[in-house]
Amino acid sequence: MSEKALGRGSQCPPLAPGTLRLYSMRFCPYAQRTRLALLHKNIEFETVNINLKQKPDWFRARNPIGLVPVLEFDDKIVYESNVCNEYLDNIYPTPKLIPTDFYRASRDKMLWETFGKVTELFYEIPKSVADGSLDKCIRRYERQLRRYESELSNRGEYFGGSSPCMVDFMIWPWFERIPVLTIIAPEAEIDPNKFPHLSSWMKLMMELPAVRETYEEPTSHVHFFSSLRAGNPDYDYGLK
Amino acid sequence: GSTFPPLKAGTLRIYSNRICPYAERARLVLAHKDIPNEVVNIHLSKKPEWFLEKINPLGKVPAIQKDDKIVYESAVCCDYLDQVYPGNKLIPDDPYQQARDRILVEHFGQVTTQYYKMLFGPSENCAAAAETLKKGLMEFDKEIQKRGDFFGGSEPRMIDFMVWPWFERFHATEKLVNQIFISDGSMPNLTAYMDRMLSVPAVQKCRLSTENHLEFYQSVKNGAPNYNVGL
Repeated sequence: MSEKALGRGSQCPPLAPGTLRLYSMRFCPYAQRTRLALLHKNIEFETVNINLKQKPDWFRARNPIGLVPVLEFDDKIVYESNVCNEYLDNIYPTPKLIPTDFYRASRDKMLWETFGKVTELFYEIPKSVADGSLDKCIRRYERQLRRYESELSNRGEYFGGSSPCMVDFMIWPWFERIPVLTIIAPEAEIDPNKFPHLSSWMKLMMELPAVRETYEEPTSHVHFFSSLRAGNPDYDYGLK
Repeated sequence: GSTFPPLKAGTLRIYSNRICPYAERARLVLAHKDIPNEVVNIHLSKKPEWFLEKINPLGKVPAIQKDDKIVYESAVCCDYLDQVYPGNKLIPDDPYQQARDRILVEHFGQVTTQYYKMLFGPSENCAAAAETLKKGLMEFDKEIQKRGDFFGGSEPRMIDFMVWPWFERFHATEKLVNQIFISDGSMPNLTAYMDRMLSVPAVQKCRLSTENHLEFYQSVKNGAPNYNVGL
Protein backbone atom coordinates (compact mmCIF):
# COMPACT_ATOMS: atom_id res chain seq x y z
CA MET A 1 0.00 0.00 0.00
CA SER A 2 1.50 3.33 -1.09
CA GLU A 3 2.05 5.91 1.59
CA LYS A 4 1.60 8.70 -0.93
CA ALA A 5 -1.51 10.80 -0.45
CA LEU A 6 -4.26 9.94 -2.88
CA GLY A 7 -6.14 12.89 -4.39
CA ARG A 8 -8.75 13.85 -6.95
CA GLY A 9 -8.91 11.49 -9.90
CA SER A 10 -7.34 8.59 -8.04
CA GLN A 11 -8.93 5.19 -7.62
CA CYS A 12 -9.93 3.95 -4.19
CA PRO A 13 -7.67 0.98 -3.41
CA PRO A 14 -9.93 -2.09 -3.06
CA LEU A 15 -10.51 -3.12 0.53
CA ALA A 16 -10.28 -6.83 1.27
CA PRO A 17 -13.14 -8.24 3.39
CA GLY A 18 -12.18 -8.42 7.04
CA THR A 19 -9.40 -5.83 6.74
CA LEU A 20 -9.46 -2.74 8.92
CA ARG A 21 -8.40 0.37 7.00
CA LEU A 22 -7.51 3.81 8.31
CA TYR A 23 -7.81 6.84 6.03
CA SER A 24 -5.21 9.23 7.34
CA MET A 25 -2.70 11.99 6.61
CA ARG A 26 0.86 11.72 7.81
CA PHE A 27 0.95 15.12 9.53
CA CYS A 28 -2.60 15.32 10.87
CA PRO A 29 -2.71 15.41 14.70
CA TYR A 30 -6.30 14.12 14.79
CA ALA A 31 -5.44 11.12 12.61
CA GLN A 32 -2.39 10.58 14.82
CA ARG A 33 -4.71 10.05 17.81
CA THR A 34 -6.28 7.07 16.06
CA ARG A 35 -2.97 5.75 14.76
CA LEU A 36 -1.65 5.81 18.34
CA ALA A 37 -4.66 3.85 19.63
CA LEU A 38 -4.39 1.28 16.81
CA LEU A 39 -0.64 0.79 17.33
CA HIS A 40 -0.77 0.69 21.13
CA LYS A 41 -3.51 -1.91 20.98
CA ASN A 42 -1.56 -3.90 18.40
CA ILE A 43 -4.51 -3.90 16.02
CA GLU A 44 -3.78 -4.97 12.45
CA PHE A 45 -4.72 -2.29 9.96
CA GLU A 46 -3.76 -0.79 6.63
CA THR A 47 -3.38 2.93 5.91
CA VAL A 48 -4.53 5.01 2.97
CA ASN A 49 -3.28 8.59 3.09
CA ILE A 50 -5.53 11.28 1.63
CA ASN A 51 -4.70 14.52 -0.14
CA LEU A 52 -6.93 16.73 1.98
CA LYS A 53 -6.62 19.73 -0.33
CA GLN A 54 -7.89 17.75 -3.34
CA LYS A 55 -10.07 15.09 -1.82
CA PRO A 56 -11.05 12.13 -3.96
CA ASP A 57 -14.82 11.70 -4.45
CA TRP A 58 -14.59 8.19 -3.03
CA PHE A 59 -13.22 9.66 0.20
CA ARG A 60 -16.04 12.22 0.49
CA ALA A 61 -18.48 9.39 -0.09
CA ARG A 62 -17.17 7.74 3.05
CA ASN A 63 -16.96 10.91 5.16
CA PRO A 64 -19.07 13.81 3.88
CA ILE A 65 -17.32 16.03 6.45
CA GLY A 66 -14.12 15.26 4.49
CA LEU A 67 -11.67 14.91 7.36
CA VAL A 68 -9.34 12.21 8.62
CA PRO A 69 -9.19 9.92 10.51
CA VAL A 70 -11.77 7.56 9.00
CA LEU A 71 -11.99 3.85 9.82
CA GLU A 72 -13.45 1.38 7.34
CA PHE A 73 -14.13 -2.29 8.01
CA ASP A 74 -16.36 -4.29 5.64
CA ASP A 75 -19.50 -2.12 5.45
CA LYS A 76 -18.77 -0.13 8.59
CA ILE A 77 -17.44 3.43 8.51
CA VAL A 78 -16.49 5.49 11.54
CA TYR A 79 -15.03 9.01 11.62
CA GLU A 80 -14.24 11.81 14.08
CA SER A 81 -11.10 10.98 16.07
CA ASN A 82 -12.80 10.72 19.47
CA VAL A 83 -15.57 8.50 18.03
CA CYS A 84 -12.98 6.30 16.23
CA ASN A 85 -10.96 5.87 19.40
CA GLU A 86 -13.93 5.05 21.63
CA TYR A 87 -15.17 2.61 19.01
CA LEU A 88 -11.76 0.90 18.84
CA ASP A 89 -11.66 0.67 22.63
CA ASN A 90 -15.06 -1.05 22.56
CA ILE A 91 -14.20 -3.52 19.80
CA TYR A 92 -10.59 -4.19 20.81
CA PRO A 93 -10.62 -3.92 24.60
CA THR A 94 -7.06 -5.13 25.20
CA PRO A 95 -5.42 -3.13 26.56
CA LYS A 96 -8.44 -1.09 27.74
CA LEU A 97 -7.66 2.60 27.29
CA ILE A 98 -10.93 4.01 28.64
CA PRO A 99 -11.70 3.01 32.27
CA THR A 100 -14.64 0.66 32.82
CA ASP A 101 -15.60 2.72 35.88
CA PHE A 102 -18.17 5.21 34.57
CA TYR A 103 -17.00 8.13 36.69
CA ARG A 104 -13.31 7.66 35.86
CA ALA A 105 -14.22 7.30 32.19
CA SER A 106 -16.16 10.58 32.42
CA ARG A 107 -13.22 12.41 34.04
CA ASP A 108 -10.98 11.14 31.23
CA LYS A 109 -13.43 12.21 28.53
CA MET A 110 -13.65 15.67 30.12
CA LEU A 111 -9.87 15.95 29.75
CA TRP A 112 -9.83 15.30 26.03
CA GLU A 113 -13.13 17.07 25.28
CA THR A 114 -11.73 20.26 26.84
CA PHE A 115 -8.29 19.93 25.23
CA GLY A 116 -9.63 22.08 22.39
CA LYS A 117 -8.85 25.03 24.68
CA VAL A 118 -5.16 24.11 24.24
CA THR A 119 -5.27 23.16 20.55
CA GLU A 120 -6.94 26.42 19.55
CA LEU A 121 -3.96 28.26 21.04
CA PHE A 122 -1.66 26.44 18.61
CA TYR A 123 -3.33 28.50 15.91
CA GLU A 124 -3.70 31.67 17.95
CA ILE A 125 -0.12 31.88 19.25
CA PRO A 126 1.44 32.36 15.79
CA LYS A 127 -1.24 34.96 14.99
CA SER A 128 -0.58 36.75 18.27
CA VAL A 129 3.11 37.09 17.41
CA ALA A 130 2.01 39.01 14.32
CA ASP A 131 -0.52 41.26 16.07
CA GLY A 132 1.46 41.91 19.27
CA SER A 133 -0.76 40.03 21.73
CA LEU A 134 1.67 37.16 22.35
CA ASP A 135 1.99 37.75 26.11
CA LYS A 136 -1.75 37.52 26.61
CA CYS A 137 -1.90 34.40 24.45
CA ILE A 138 0.93 32.71 26.34
CA ARG A 139 -0.80 33.43 29.66
CA ARG A 140 -3.94 31.70 28.34
CA TYR A 141 -1.80 28.83 27.05
CA GLU A 142 -0.12 28.37 30.44
CA ARG A 143 -3.44 28.61 32.27
CA GLN A 144 -4.86 25.77 30.16
CA LEU A 145 -1.67 23.70 30.49
CA ARG A 146 -1.85 24.08 34.26
CA ARG A 147 -5.15 22.16 34.26
CA TYR A 148 -3.35 19.20 32.69
CA GLU A 149 -0.26 19.61 34.85
CA SER A 150 -2.46 19.59 37.95
CA GLU A 151 -4.48 16.59 36.81
CA LEU A 152 -1.34 14.67 35.90
CA SER A 153 0.19 15.37 39.31
CA ASN A 154 -2.82 13.59 40.87
CA ARG A 155 -2.64 10.60 38.58
CA GLY A 156 0.95 9.43 38.17
CA GLU A 157 3.53 9.17 35.44
CA TYR A 158 0.88 9.01 32.76
CA PHE A 159 -2.69 10.28 32.77
CA GLY A 160 -3.51 6.57 33.00
CA GLY A 161 -1.36 6.22 36.14
CA SER A 162 1.46 3.74 35.71
CA SER A 163 0.57 3.07 32.08
CA PRO A 164 -0.85 5.26 29.32
CA CYS A 165 -4.58 5.54 28.75
CA MET A 166 -6.74 7.17 26.09
CA VAL A 167 -6.11 10.66 27.48
CA ASP A 168 -2.35 10.31 26.94
CA PHE A 169 -2.86 9.41 23.28
CA MET A 170 -5.61 11.96 22.65
CA ILE A 171 -3.45 14.90 23.73
CA TRP A 172 0.06 13.73 22.73
CA PRO A 173 -0.03 14.90 19.04
CA TRP A 174 -0.04 18.58 20.03
CA PHE A 175 2.81 18.20 22.51
CA GLU A 176 4.80 16.65 19.66
CA ARG A 177 4.14 19.81 17.63
CA ILE A 178 5.31 22.32 20.24
CA PRO A 179 8.66 22.69 18.41
CA VAL A 180 6.69 24.23 15.52
CA LEU A 181 5.37 26.89 17.91
CA THR A 182 8.64 27.61 19.67
CA ILE A 183 10.34 28.65 16.44
CA ILE A 184 8.16 31.78 16.33
CA ALA A 185 7.30 31.85 20.04
CA PRO A 186 10.06 30.44 22.30
CA GLU A 187 7.78 31.26 25.26
CA ALA A 188 5.63 28.28 24.24
CA GLU A 189 8.32 25.84 25.35
CA ILE A 190 7.14 23.63 28.22
CA ASP A 191 9.27 24.93 31.10
CA PRO A 192 10.20 22.02 33.45
CA ASN A 193 10.18 24.48 36.37
CA LYS A 194 6.59 25.53 35.67
CA PHE A 195 5.37 22.15 34.37
CA PRO A 196 7.52 19.43 35.98
CA HIS A 197 4.96 16.65 35.53
CA LEU A 198 4.15 17.44 31.90
CA SER A 199 7.88 17.71 31.13
CA SER A 200 8.59 14.25 32.54
CA TRP A 201 5.49 12.90 30.86
CA MET A 202 6.66 14.14 27.47
CA LYS A 203 9.93 12.23 27.88
CA LEU A 204 8.09 9.07 28.93
CA MET A 205 5.66 9.29 26.03
CA MET A 206 8.59 9.50 23.61
CA GLU A 207 9.66 6.04 24.78
CA LEU A 208 6.35 4.37 23.88
CA PRO A 209 6.53 2.25 20.72
CA ALA A 210 3.29 3.70 19.36
CA VAL A 211 4.57 7.26 19.84
CA ARG A 212 7.91 6.44 18.23
CA GLU A 213 6.20 4.85 15.27
CA THR A 214 3.99 7.88 14.56
CA TYR A 215 6.61 10.46 15.51
CA GLU A 216 7.72 13.07 12.99
CA GLU A 217 10.82 15.19 13.59
CA PRO A 218 10.31 18.88 14.36
CA THR A 219 11.85 19.77 10.98
CA SER A 220 9.20 17.67 9.24
CA HIS A 221 6.38 19.27 11.19
CA VAL A 222 7.78 22.74 10.51
CA HIS A 223 8.18 21.97 6.81
CA PHE A 224 4.65 20.62 6.55
CA PHE A 225 3.12 23.50 8.49
CA SER A 226 4.94 26.08 6.35
CA SER A 227 3.86 24.34 3.16
CA LEU A 228 0.28 24.31 4.47
CA ARG A 229 0.35 28.04 5.26
CA ALA A 230 1.81 28.70 1.82
CA GLY A 231 -1.24 27.00 0.32
CA ASN A 232 0.55 23.96 -1.04
CA PRO A 233 0.63 21.30 1.68
CA ASP A 234 3.44 18.81 1.13
CA TYR A 235 1.62 15.66 2.23
CA ASP A 236 4.34 13.34 0.94
CA TYR A 237 7.31 15.15 2.49
CA GLY A 238 10.01 12.70 3.48
CA LEU A 239 8.73 9.82 1.35
CA LYS A 240 11.07 8.33 -1.24
CA GLY B 1 -21.12 37.30 45.08
CA SER B 2 -23.16 34.21 45.99
CA THR B 3 -21.97 31.32 48.15
CA PHE B 4 -21.89 27.62 47.29
CA PRO B 5 -25.33 26.15 48.02
CA PRO B 6 -24.75 23.19 50.36
CA LEU B 7 -25.31 19.82 48.73
CA LYS B 8 -26.95 17.05 50.74
CA ALA B 9 -25.18 13.70 50.71
CA GLY B 10 -26.56 11.42 48.02
CA THR B 11 -28.39 14.17 46.13
CA LEU B 12 -27.76 14.53 42.42
CA ARG B 13 -27.44 18.18 41.44
CA ILE B 14 -27.33 19.72 37.99
CA TYR B 15 -25.75 23.13 37.49
CA SER B 16 -27.80 24.52 34.67
CA ASN B 17 -29.31 27.56 33.05
CA ARG B 18 -32.90 27.71 31.82
CA ILE B 19 -31.96 29.10 28.42
CA CYS B 20 -28.81 27.10 27.65
CA PRO B 21 -29.29 24.42 24.94
CA TYR B 22 -26.31 22.40 26.17
CA ALA B 23 -27.72 22.26 29.69
CA GLU B 24 -31.08 21.31 28.18
CA ARG B 25 -29.48 18.14 26.77
CA ALA B 26 -28.71 16.94 30.30
CA ARG B 27 -32.08 18.12 31.64
CA LEU B 28 -33.84 16.10 28.92
CA VAL B 29 -31.93 12.98 29.92
CA LEU B 30 -32.75 13.54 33.60
CA ALA B 31 -36.43 14.05 32.76
CA HIS B 32 -36.72 11.13 30.36
CA LYS B 33 -35.07 8.72 32.76
CA ASP B 34 -37.01 10.10 35.76
CA ILE B 35 -33.81 10.73 37.69
CA PRO B 36 -34.45 12.74 40.87
CA ASN B 37 -32.29 15.83 40.88
CA GLU B 38 -31.98 19.33 42.20
CA VAL B 39 -31.26 22.25 39.92
CA VAL B 40 -28.92 25.13 40.62
CA ASN B 41 -29.14 27.73 37.90
CA ILE B 42 -25.96 29.62 37.11
CA HIS B 43 -26.03 33.20 35.87
CA LEU B 44 -23.92 32.84 32.75
CA SER B 45 -22.85 36.47 32.42
CA LYS B 46 -22.01 36.83 36.13
CA LYS B 47 -20.59 33.45 37.10
CA PRO B 48 -20.11 32.87 40.83
CA GLU B 49 -16.48 32.42 41.88
CA TRP B 50 -17.37 29.21 43.73
CA PHE B 51 -18.65 27.68 40.48
CA LEU B 52 -15.35 28.29 38.71
CA GLU B 53 -13.28 27.17 41.69
CA LYS B 54 -15.22 24.14 42.92
CA ILE B 55 -17.20 22.86 39.97
CA ASN B 56 -16.00 23.78 36.47
CA PRO B 57 -12.91 25.95 35.82
CA LEU B 58 -14.26 26.53 32.32
CA GLY B 59 -17.39 28.03 33.86
CA LYS B 60 -19.85 26.24 31.62
CA VAL B 61 -23.11 24.44 32.21
CA PRO B 62 -24.23 21.73 32.40
CA ALA B 63 -22.29 20.21 35.26
CA ILE B 64 -23.45 17.31 37.41
CA GLN B 65 -22.49 16.82 41.05
CA LYS B 66 -23.21 14.01 43.48
CA ASP B 67 -21.23 13.79 46.71
CA ASP B 68 -17.58 14.17 45.61
CA LYS B 69 -18.21 13.36 41.95
CA ILE B 70 -18.32 16.17 39.39
CA VAL B 71 -18.88 15.81 35.65
CA TYR B 72 -19.07 18.55 33.02
CA GLU B 73 -19.26 18.84 29.19
CA SER B 74 -22.83 18.14 28.03
CA ALA B 75 -22.10 14.95 26.05
CA VAL B 76 -20.08 13.52 28.93
CA CYS B 77 -22.83 14.39 31.45
CA CYS B 78 -25.46 12.72 29.26
CA ASP B 79 -23.41 9.57 28.73
CA TYR B 80 -22.56 9.38 32.43
CA LEU B 81 -26.19 9.71 33.51
CA ASP B 82 -27.24 7.02 31.03
CA GLN B 83 -24.58 4.64 32.31
CA VAL B 84 -25.12 5.23 36.02
CA TYR B 85 -28.95 5.20 35.87
CA PRO B 86 -29.56 2.24 33.57
CA GLY B 87 -33.37 2.36 33.37
CA ASN B 88 -34.76 3.56 30.02
CA LYS B 89 -31.41 3.15 28.27
CA LEU B 90 -30.71 5.94 25.82
CA ILE B 91 -27.39 4.94 24.27
CA PRO B 92 -27.54 1.99 21.84
CA ASP B 93 -25.88 -1.21 23.07
CA ASP B 94 -24.21 -1.91 19.73
CA PRO B 95 -20.82 -0.12 19.59
CA TYR B 96 -21.18 0.60 15.87
CA GLN B 97 -24.63 2.14 16.30
CA GLN B 98 -23.22 4.15 19.22
CA ALA B 99 -20.47 5.42 16.93
CA ARG B 100 -22.88 6.30 14.10
CA ASP B 101 -25.15 8.20 16.50
CA ARG B 102 -22.14 10.16 17.83
CA ILE B 103 -21.13 10.93 14.26
CA LEU B 104 -24.63 12.30 13.64
CA VAL B 105 -24.21 14.60 16.64
CA GLU B 106 -20.91 15.83 15.16
CA HIS B 107 -22.69 16.50 11.84
CA PHE B 108 -25.30 18.43 13.80
CA GLY B 109 -22.47 20.53 15.22
CA GLN B 110 -22.06 21.98 11.73
CA VAL B 111 -25.72 23.03 11.88
CA THR B 112 -25.36 24.62 15.31
CA THR B 113 -22.29 26.57 14.12
CA GLN B 114 -24.52 28.33 11.58
CA TYR B 115 -27.16 28.90 14.27
CA TYR B 116 -24.60 30.79 16.41
CA LYS B 117 -23.37 32.72 13.35
CA MET B 118 -26.93 33.89 12.74
CA LEU B 119 -27.51 34.91 16.35
CA PHE B 120 -24.18 36.47 17.21
CA GLY B 121 -22.34 37.03 13.96
CA PRO B 122 -22.45 40.13 11.75
CA SER B 123 -25.91 40.59 10.29
CA GLU B 124 -24.56 40.77 6.74
CA ASN B 125 -23.58 37.08 7.08
CA CYS B 126 -27.05 35.96 8.22
CA ALA B 127 -28.43 35.00 4.82
CA ALA B 128 -25.37 32.90 3.99
CA ALA B 129 -25.50 31.20 7.40
CA ALA B 130 -29.21 30.42 6.91
CA GLU B 131 -28.44 28.91 3.51
CA THR B 132 -25.69 26.72 4.94
CA LEU B 133 -27.84 25.74 7.92
CA LYS B 134 -30.66 24.73 5.61
CA LYS B 135 -28.31 22.55 3.54
CA GLY B 136 -27.14 20.89 6.75
CA LEU B 137 -30.71 20.26 7.87
CA MET B 138 -31.56 18.65 4.53
CA GLU B 139 -29.15 15.86 5.43
CA PHE B 140 -31.13 15.34 8.63
CA ASP B 141 -34.41 15.41 6.69
CA LYS B 142 -32.99 12.52 4.62
CA GLU B 143 -31.59 10.71 7.65
CA ILE B 144 -34.81 10.71 9.69
CA GLN B 145 -36.53 8.87 6.84
CA LYS B 146 -34.05 6.02 7.26
CA ARG B 147 -34.37 5.83 11.03
CA GLY B 148 -38.08 6.01 11.89
CA ASP B 149 -40.24 8.26 14.02
CA PHE B 150 -37.15 9.43 15.86
CA PHE B 151 -33.42 9.38 15.09
CA GLY B 152 -33.32 6.75 17.82
CA GLY B 153 -35.88 4.64 15.93
CA SER B 154 -39.37 4.02 17.29
CA GLU B 155 -38.55 5.86 20.55
CA PRO B 156 -36.46 8.94 21.23
CA ARG B 157 -32.96 7.94 22.29
CA MET B 158 -29.83 9.87 23.24
CA ILE B 159 -29.29 11.21 19.72
CA ASP B 160 -32.72 12.88 19.79
CA PHE B 161 -32.07 14.62 23.11
CA MET B 162 -28.63 15.72 21.95
CA VAL B 163 -30.06 17.59 18.92
CA TRP B 164 -33.52 18.61 20.16
CA PRO B 165 -32.53 21.87 21.98
CA TRP B 166 -31.60 23.58 18.72
CA PHE B 167 -34.67 22.34 16.86
CA GLU B 168 -36.60 23.94 19.71
CA ARG B 169 -34.95 27.28 18.96
CA PHE B 170 -35.24 27.35 15.15
CA HIS B 171 -38.59 29.14 14.91
CA ALA B 172 -37.44 31.88 17.27
CA THR B 173 -34.19 32.21 15.31
CA GLU B 174 -36.09 32.61 12.04
CA LYS B 175 -38.15 35.39 13.59
CA LEU B 176 -35.14 37.16 15.09
CA VAL B 177 -32.98 37.28 11.97
CA ASN B 178 -35.77 37.30 9.41
CA GLN B 179 -34.47 34.26 7.55
CA ILE B 180 -36.49 31.13 6.79
CA PHE B 181 -34.69 27.83 6.85
CA ILE B 182 -37.19 25.34 8.25
CA SER B 183 -40.67 26.87 8.14
CA ASP B 184 -41.00 26.90 4.36
CA GLY B 185 -42.26 23.32 4.14
CA SER B 186 -39.17 22.17 2.25
CA MET B 187 -38.30 19.56 4.89
CA PRO B 188 -41.57 17.77 5.72
CA ASN B 189 -39.86 14.83 7.41
CA LEU B 190 -38.02 17.07 9.85
CA THR B 191 -41.13 19.14 10.47
CA ALA B 192 -43.06 15.97 11.33
CA TYR B 193 -40.18 14.86 13.57
CA MET B 194 -40.26 18.16 15.43
CA ASP B 195 -44.01 17.72 16.05
CA ARG B 196 -43.44 14.22 17.41
CA MET B 197 -40.68 15.48 19.71
CA LEU B 198 -43.02 18.16 21.06
CA SER B 199 -45.24 15.35 22.35
CA VAL B 200 -42.42 13.64 24.24
CA PRO B 201 -42.99 14.23 27.99
CA ALA B 202 -39.31 15.08 28.68
CA VAL B 203 -39.42 17.74 25.97
CA GLN B 204 -42.65 19.17 27.33
CA LYS B 205 -41.05 19.36 30.75
CA CYS B 206 -37.80 20.99 29.65
CA ARG B 207 -38.70 23.26 26.76
CA LEU B 208 -39.27 26.96 26.60
CA SER B 209 -41.67 28.41 24.02
CA THR B 210 -40.70 30.14 20.79
CA GLU B 211 -41.86 33.40 22.39
CA ASN B 212 -39.60 32.79 25.41
CA HIS B 213 -36.61 32.13 23.15
CA LEU B 214 -37.31 35.19 21.03
CA GLU B 215 -37.61 37.31 24.18
CA PHE B 216 -34.27 35.97 25.37
CA TYR B 217 -32.53 36.65 22.04
CA GLN B 218 -33.87 40.21 22.07
CA SER B 219 -32.65 40.73 25.63
CA VAL B 220 -29.17 39.63 24.52
CA LYS B 221 -29.24 42.06 21.60
CA ASN B 222 -30.23 44.76 24.10
CA GLY B 223 -27.14 44.00 26.15
CA ALA B 224 -28.94 42.54 29.20
CA PRO B 225 -29.49 38.78 28.84
CA ASN B 226 -32.66 37.79 30.68
CA TYR B 227 -32.25 34.20 31.85
CA ASN B 228 -35.61 34.34 33.65
CA VAL B 229 -37.81 34.45 30.56
CA GLY B 230 -41.08 32.65 31.08
CA LEU B 231 -40.97 32.81 34.87
